[in-house]
Amino acid sequence: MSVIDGLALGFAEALTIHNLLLILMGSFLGTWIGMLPGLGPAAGIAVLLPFTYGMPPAAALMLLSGIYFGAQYGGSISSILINTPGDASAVMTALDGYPLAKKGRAGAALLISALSSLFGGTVGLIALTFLAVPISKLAITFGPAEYFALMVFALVATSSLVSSNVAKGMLSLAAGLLFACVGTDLQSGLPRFTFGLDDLLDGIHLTDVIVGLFALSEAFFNVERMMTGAAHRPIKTGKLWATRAEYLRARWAAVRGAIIGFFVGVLPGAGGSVATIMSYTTEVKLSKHPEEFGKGAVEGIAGPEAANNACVPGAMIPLLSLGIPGSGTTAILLGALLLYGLQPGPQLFVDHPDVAWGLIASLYISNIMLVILNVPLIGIFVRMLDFRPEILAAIIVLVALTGAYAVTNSLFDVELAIAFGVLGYLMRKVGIPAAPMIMGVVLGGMLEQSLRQALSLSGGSWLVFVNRPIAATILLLSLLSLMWPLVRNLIGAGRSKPGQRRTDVIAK
Amino acid sequence: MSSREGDMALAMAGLVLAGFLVTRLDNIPDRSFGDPLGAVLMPKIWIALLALCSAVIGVRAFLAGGALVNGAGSKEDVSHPKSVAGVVIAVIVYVLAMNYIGYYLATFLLATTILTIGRRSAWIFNLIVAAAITAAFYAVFGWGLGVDFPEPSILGY
Repeated sequence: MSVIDGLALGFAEALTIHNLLLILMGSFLGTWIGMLPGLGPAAGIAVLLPFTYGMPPAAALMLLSGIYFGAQYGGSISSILINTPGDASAVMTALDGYPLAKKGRAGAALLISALSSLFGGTVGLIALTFLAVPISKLAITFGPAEYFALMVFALVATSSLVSSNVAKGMLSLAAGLLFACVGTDLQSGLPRFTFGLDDLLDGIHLTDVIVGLFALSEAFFNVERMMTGAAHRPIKTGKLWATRAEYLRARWAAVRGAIIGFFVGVLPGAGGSVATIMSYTTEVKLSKHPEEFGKGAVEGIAGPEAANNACVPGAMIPLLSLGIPGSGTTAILLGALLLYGLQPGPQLFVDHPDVAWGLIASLYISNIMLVILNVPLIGIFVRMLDFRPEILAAIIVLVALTGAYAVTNSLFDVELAIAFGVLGYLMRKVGIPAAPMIMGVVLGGMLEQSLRQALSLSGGSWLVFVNRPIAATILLLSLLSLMWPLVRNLIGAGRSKPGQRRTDVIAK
Repeated sequence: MSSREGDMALAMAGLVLAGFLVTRLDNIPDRSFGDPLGAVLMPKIWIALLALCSAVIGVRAFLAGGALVNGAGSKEDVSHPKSVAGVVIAVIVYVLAMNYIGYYLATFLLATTILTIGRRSAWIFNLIVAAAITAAFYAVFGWGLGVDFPEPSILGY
């Protein structure tokens, strides 16, 4: 199937009343979720995931990916208006967005943010459209050894890059991989780590982990914020317009941001936050007036916003083409695909082209819907920033618990979700990232099966990972990504800090 | 609790957990002719990784002496563990009570509890909002999505 045929199929799937409404709902919810401080796309998808079971898989994915995309737009609104980023990928937007808003130019900041996001998302989607199938065709040549190596790379890269403390990232990963071992071993038929509980013979349901780690733990933090935080009053937006000079300054920043964001999104472990930081520091270095950054430079808004929106289609490439998630959010989407009975990877475009191309087409539609939502309807979203935190906390807790129950109509799943919620809360308190754990839970079973298949085919010889060049190369890259934080620290210790200005800007 | 103490506690918990899991490996079959890897090797590797990472965290915390940077996720500078503990207890009671008083009454009571933790003075407002949330949940999940929730079993219903 050619790209044009695929897109035509995808748009035919997406352009139904039912699916358009789902895309609109996902985009709206995603914008709102992204806007609320602390609630990111992962939590939003986690809360809604259980309720998508009854939907056709294509429709469910359109809803969930609309949330993912919408959250990138929404995070910038709270960054600009209340200097409180909605999630990590919106932090850099706050550095220049809020100062520009304080100068009475909130409308310009929001407009440039929305248009840069549209541009970045479009560039990323075009690249996704033309690269996804060729990469998936390459992956058809992969055997169990290559898949094992890819999964190791994804897990190690995420664990070592997502946190400045590699040991804590790997600890989280190890815990996730152990959780994946719970249940009946497929090969021997005997239970592992079930502690005599029949409810655990099927293993730990992915939904319980996702809902607990992301949604419930976030709700617990919202409870703390509502007890200790003061409500932020958003700055008035004013008219949504920017000067010609501002557009001209923003355009090349958006182009650079889109390119950076897309390629960073493809890499496992490097998500929107890395993309926006790289984009921002690039703009500072290239600017003829670097002293303006931190005081309302439009390049400081356009670049990061284009980057974090281009990152989403970039992250979809390893997910759809290889079946390998590159972040916590795409790990949840991978979990969703598995729960719907779909096997992501190269066969997805062959066996379920309506799902794969429908998802891509829905992202195009969502990208346009989000500009429509974010520009003329910005006033509605600003009012939603005044939502009482205790009501939000109650709703998130109840939706999460109801969702965990609705999967299997079992209170045991609700109890597990609560346990993971408490675990997620404690993990954040001691600085352990949740993304490696969720990736371990999602990929642990597949990793073990790939390894067993590879060893079965090689007659038990571990040299299979050396004799196959692709697998060997990927495993070497895994080792390098594990060593990279150490090398980076050693290099940094021997130099004066090049990011000093950025650090000063961030510290304001 | 300081960062150092948190890391030391984390390291101890990780090592204890690893030790406990090792004792549970006996019932897991090892390699066989058709399964060169066996079902026990990967759990052993993950337990070893858990123990190693816990040890590294513990040693670093011990040697650091002063405050440590915890890494990503620890930038939350708000702390009110009592309120969180209150919500967690309420949630546990909610699950236990659901089989006796049914889903909707339990939901109403949990919503009221969380709202009251946030704003004790506005109890009438909290009751009204909790009722509205419960009604919305019935409309969306009970009626709209047809989820089969626990019925109250108390008094023989």
